[in-house]
Amino acid sequence: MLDMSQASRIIVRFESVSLQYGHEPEILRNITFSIAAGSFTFLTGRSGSGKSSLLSLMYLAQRPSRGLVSLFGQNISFIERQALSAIRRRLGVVFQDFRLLDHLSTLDNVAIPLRIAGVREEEVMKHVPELLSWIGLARFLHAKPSTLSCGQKQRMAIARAVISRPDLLLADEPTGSVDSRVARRILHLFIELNKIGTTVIIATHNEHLIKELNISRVHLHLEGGRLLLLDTPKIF
Amino acid sequence: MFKRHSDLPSAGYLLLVIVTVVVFFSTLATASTLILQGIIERWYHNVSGTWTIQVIPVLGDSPAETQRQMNSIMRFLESTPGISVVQPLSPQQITQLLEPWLDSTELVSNISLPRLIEVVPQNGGLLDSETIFVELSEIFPNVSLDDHKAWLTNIAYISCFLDLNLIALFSIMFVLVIVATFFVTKSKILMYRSIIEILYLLGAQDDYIAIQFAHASLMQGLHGGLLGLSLALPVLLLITGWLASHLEGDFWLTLTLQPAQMAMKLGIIPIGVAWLAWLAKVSARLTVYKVIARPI
Repeated sequence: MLDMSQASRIIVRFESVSLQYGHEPEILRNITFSIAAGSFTFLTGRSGSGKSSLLSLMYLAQRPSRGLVSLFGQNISFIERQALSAIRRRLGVVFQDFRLLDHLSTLDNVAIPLRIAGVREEEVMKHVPELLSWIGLARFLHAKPSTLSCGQKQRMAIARAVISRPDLLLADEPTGSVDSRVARRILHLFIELNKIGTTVIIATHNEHLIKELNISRVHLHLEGGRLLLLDTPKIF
Repeated sequence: MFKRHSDLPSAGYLLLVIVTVVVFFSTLATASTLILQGIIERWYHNVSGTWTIQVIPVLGDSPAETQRQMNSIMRFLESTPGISVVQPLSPQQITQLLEPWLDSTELVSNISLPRLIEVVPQNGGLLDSETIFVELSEIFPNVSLDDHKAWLTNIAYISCFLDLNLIALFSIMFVLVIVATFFVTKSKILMYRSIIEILYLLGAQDDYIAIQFAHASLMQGLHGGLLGLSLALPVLLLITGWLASHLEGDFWLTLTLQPAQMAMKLGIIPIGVAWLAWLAKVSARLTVYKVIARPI
């Protein structure tokens, strides 16, 4: 069992989790690990290794075929519908395919988590433009996603994921469509969030990125449906 | 005041069109019903509380003899306690009443016509029409008395029927809007399923999504209702204007209500519109709760 949680509060726990789609071979096999609150975790693996599927279990898009998934101390198999929404509101998710709403502007897309949380419209109109300005999308406040480049859409998706300062940030290939300068800026944002308490889990196939960062982090690797621990922080 | 952000795209105007059509036709139907009820009320008012005594001329009597008989009958009636008004119709007045039907003054003047006396009993009096008729017919066998009860009863039934008709109309209107809202909302939920799933993944609860559908339905209901009303009122004015130019004499007056009365009674239409919009809102919200599937 890979357990990085000896001394810290556990925010994510997988116990003997397997995932299978229909009658296909299992994508994830007997995965067991814990993620501590406040940690910074990279999840790597070749394309098709199951990184996105693993993350999808964490953001509650599906249930495991076998095993137990626990988020914020709650077993998601027995959780009520209302409580599911409450857990999701504590998450920030950067989807690999962005999942932006094409009919909404950049501002309205990024504002969704705040509006769901019931934040006053005046606050929304204050914070969203600030973040978009920081991330380099100030000129595109009222633009629709279809008019933006892939890199701009990715930044919009990231902004949406972080706007509500989530307890747990899950990012699936967050730097896949941007250049290295923007990629570093995005990672810097994630690091800053991590410093103020957000637990960060990034799925990426770009292992160079991990080597470049000089931060205390956990490195998990998926291979053949199984999870390997490659690196842990020196100090918890 | 009603502006509200929605994460869902606007999808067509089907509900708006349905509400517009419903309100348009129900406004015309309501106005027509109100006008008819106005007519009935006036007829009822004019006819109730009065009796008509018909004096059939005796064969062979001259007009002077008929007039003497009329005078005797009137003296009898005027001396009867409980009668406040005795008003005979002159031969000329009776001729005028019949002229439109027979279309010939000469023909009418050659016919020996019954004489009519309008009698008004005192308000709150205990005088019974049957008792008076019995007393009268003992002295004057060639008279008849009509207290208009049968006519008044029929009028009352017609009025009741019109009321029930209006209630049925509004009920059908409300049911139609509820059903339309259900199907429109259900189809929109299916159409926007992928968007709704994203909203759920971002932490939305059922309420967050239901309120957006409800608000959209409310606005379509309001706009449709106002549009229907705006289209119906000019049509109503055209129709009543046409009638005014084609109806003769006092009949037009019986068709119209006083402006203040009309405005007050037609005021139920905007209230109905508001009710419709509220119904659409509630129906949409309940439909979302019922139909929406869990993404996980």
